[in-house]
Amino acid sequence: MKREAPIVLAGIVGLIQILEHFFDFEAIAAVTVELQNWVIIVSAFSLALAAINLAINHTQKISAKKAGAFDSALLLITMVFTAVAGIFWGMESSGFKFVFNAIIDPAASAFYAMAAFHVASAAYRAFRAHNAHAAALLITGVMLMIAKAPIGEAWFPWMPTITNWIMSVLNLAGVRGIMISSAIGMICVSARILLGIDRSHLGLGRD
Amino acid sequence: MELIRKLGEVDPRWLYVLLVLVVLIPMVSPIGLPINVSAYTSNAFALLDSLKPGDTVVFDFGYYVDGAPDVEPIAVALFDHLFSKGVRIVCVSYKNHGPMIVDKLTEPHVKAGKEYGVDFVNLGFLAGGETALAAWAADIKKAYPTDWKGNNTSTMPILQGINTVADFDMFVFYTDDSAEVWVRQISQYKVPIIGGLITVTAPQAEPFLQSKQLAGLLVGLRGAAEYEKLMNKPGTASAGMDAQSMAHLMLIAFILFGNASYFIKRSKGLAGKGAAK
Repeated sequence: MKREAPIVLAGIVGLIQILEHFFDFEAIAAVTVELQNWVIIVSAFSLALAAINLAINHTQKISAKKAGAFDSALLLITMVFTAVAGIFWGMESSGFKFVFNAIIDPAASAFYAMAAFHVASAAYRAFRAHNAHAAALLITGVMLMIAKAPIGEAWFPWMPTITNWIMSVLNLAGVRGIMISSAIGMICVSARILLGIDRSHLGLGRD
Repeated sequence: MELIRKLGEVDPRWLYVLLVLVVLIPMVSPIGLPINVSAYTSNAFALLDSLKPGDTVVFDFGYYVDGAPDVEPIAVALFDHLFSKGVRIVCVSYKNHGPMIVDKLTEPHVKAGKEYGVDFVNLGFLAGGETALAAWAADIKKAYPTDWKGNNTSTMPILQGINTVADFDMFVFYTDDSAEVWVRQISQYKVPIIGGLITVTAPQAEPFLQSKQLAGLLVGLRGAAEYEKLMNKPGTASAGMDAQSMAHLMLIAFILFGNASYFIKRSKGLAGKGAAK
């Protein structure tokens, strides 16, 4: 029963979601929305659980004086400060806004900007026309870089016509193929879960 | 020949220094390169420009702040455009940074006289990813009984007469991810959907545009700069385009140097066919 109940439950819930998509029954639609709202509640609790788990792990790391204990302490201090600021002073308080606008926002933007250096270095060192495939990738990449920058368009006004064709014909065909095949794969996996064949989401392993 | 070969072996740290310079100089002293407007942007602009005062639009914020440099200028331009037309905006967040981003982007408009709860609202973030999106799309007031500030949504003027996503005049999402989630959950409501995407994920959204599941697409900083041009209001995105042009140009030059150097070395038997350098 302990094994079967979650599988049957998952099957019924999944079936309701599928029926709602294909049939216009008010009762099924109401149940579907209710179930979806339950997911929101459960997900919110799982976020809280993740925060508690994170706090326990890092506290243990600090008390055991493991490598990176200083980073763990920093993480806990900022986590507690942000939580206290948000819960007790409110999310519109200057303290909470300071954490987001003065720490998270600029730090995250800086990390994103650093990707430009990695891309530049990688493109310079590894983007070589070793063979026909690599040459095709190189030529397409360079053409798109030219077409997407105003200076490229100014120098080669005909370039966007070619790159638009690459994007709307070659790229589209490739992406569509990948999407259709991954959608078929997703249907198969979903069917396996709903029928109880794949039980890995319950921690029971695959049959 | 020797010079070209050596250009292919420059220390990457010099590359970093050059990149900083080519990005910084046009920012300080803009070149003012002309920006051509793509069909994507002009179509999206035409759709958004057709909205009438009093229409209500959803802005769904599905990006984290690290993706903001590429996608946020689109949101900034659209807030300016739609608020200037008297369109009302309901902001929701697919990702948890969303509510704070909305707060930041609407602040100048509040100072300019836009009223919270009447002209716009920040409903906040719902945990649950795609399922949460499906839930609020089906019944917005059930999923969001209160907004981010704790106000009751059922009595909020901006949400009167709105129960599902189908009651909105347009749906705009901004994301640093794939557009698939919104196409899957929102296209069934027959509301025009416009996607604001970061540049690298845009090619994946192309099939949805052709199948008309997406009504329009605005792509990255370039899309925002084109939108600013159509609005006759150059902003941060337009300023960034000169820097992007110079960075692209520098990268292309170094890719060419690297390849020229590689072929010279290969002709001399110094580089293997599969060697990276």
